[in-house]
Amino acid sequence: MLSRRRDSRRDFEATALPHLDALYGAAYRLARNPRDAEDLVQEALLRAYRFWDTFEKDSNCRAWLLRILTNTFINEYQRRRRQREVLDAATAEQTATDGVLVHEGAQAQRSPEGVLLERAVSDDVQRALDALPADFRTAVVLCDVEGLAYKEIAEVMDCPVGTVMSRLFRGRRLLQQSLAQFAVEQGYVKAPAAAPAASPPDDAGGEPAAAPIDLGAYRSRRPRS
Amino acid sequence: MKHLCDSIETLAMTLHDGELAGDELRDLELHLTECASCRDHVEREAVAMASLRRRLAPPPTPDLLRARITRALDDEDRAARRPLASWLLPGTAAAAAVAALAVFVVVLRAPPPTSSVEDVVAKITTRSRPLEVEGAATSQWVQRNYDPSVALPTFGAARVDRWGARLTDVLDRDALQLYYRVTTPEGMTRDVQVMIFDAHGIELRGRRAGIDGRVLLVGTYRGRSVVTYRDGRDRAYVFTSTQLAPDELTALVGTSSLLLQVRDDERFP
Repeated sequence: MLSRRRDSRRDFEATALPHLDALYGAAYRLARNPRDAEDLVQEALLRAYRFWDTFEKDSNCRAWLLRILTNTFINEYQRRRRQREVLDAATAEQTATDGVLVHEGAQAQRSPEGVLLERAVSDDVQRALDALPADFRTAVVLCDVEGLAYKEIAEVMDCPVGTVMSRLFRGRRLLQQSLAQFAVEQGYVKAPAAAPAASPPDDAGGEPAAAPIDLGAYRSRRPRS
Repeated sequence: MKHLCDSIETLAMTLHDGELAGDELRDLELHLTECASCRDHVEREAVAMASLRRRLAPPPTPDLLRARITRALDDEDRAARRPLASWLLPGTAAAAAVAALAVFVVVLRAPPPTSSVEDVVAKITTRSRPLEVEGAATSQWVQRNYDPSVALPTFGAARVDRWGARLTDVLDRDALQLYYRVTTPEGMTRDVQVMIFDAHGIELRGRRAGIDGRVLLVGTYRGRSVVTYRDGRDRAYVFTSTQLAPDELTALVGTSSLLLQVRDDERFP
């Protein structure tokens, strides 16, 4: 049994750990700061290790790991949001915790070093990403940071390719609008750029009412050669 | 080519994402040579997307993350191995395992007893949790985030590196969890954790051991060697290790800076 576990560990290290950079890259843009990103990667890899027996060896390991990572992120994101709602309602302060779920206010209160670090890394892109619904953010990160194909993103996010395209389109538009707005606020540009319109983010993560991107519609209109 | 103009947003995005191929790609390329409006749109999108991707590029993976993952996997392996390992131990350890099983059976029928603080600490240290600070910055971080008056233990007898720290709580009291790595003369590494917390009003348990007239409490909890020291301010330092035997851990703690400055009333009678 010990030998089997050693073999499993060796196999996991040889197959999964080479994807550490990809996991960190995605986690860095999904999470709010480098420390949360490292926690997210560790949590995802430990989950992957626990379920390593279920990984099909001839399938795409990177996509499998990213799926675990994004699921971990989305679960955590939803838990944090619920927690924030509870705390906001009670205007309570959570001081010391031993969990991974740390209210940001409490975290900052507890660690002045953390506050400085978070300020330093909280660049415009990260602020704009933070404002996106989790599904939009995940689609953008998987495509524009990880370079995954639509089909792979659809597998990771467990949704149709059309939904991926729609989330990508809207996520990018919202990001561009936020960045243009920040640029105006900071005096980098004089007037807001005429960015194409996109629906405001649905914080509940719902799908847009009318998809502006529809490859199926184009194909149905395309004359057959 | 109205159908191409109507779908230019879709086509521009799929083109820049490398998802357009075959006839669809050829149709669009041909259309762009003829339609200035669509060509402008595709070019604007290319610039915007390249800019966005450049800004989204993450920094390199921190060097320490790889080591941290390896450590977390080690902890995971140890946690999975422990129940079996206890059965493989000879003599008194096997007897202890049988006794533990007996206790387990009894516990099934009786209300669970109140855990000792040592047991609570051992339980906390079995969890794999991320560090909040690593390396040389630990001391300063502890001063800022935990208690400036805490002097972190150093050791005189062996090569012991302080790996990092995190904040936690023990019995609802703020606690500092420190991680050390001991390198033996043979070059083997052994991990040791130290939990520091205010022990005012808390009973500390264990077999009393005296090192140069100083009091230490020694025991084994959840498969971990546990050595506890209470200083003159009622602060507990609970050392735990799965890789050092209780007597080895006791000897290590005996060389720690904690015991160098001991008040007379703390001496072992």
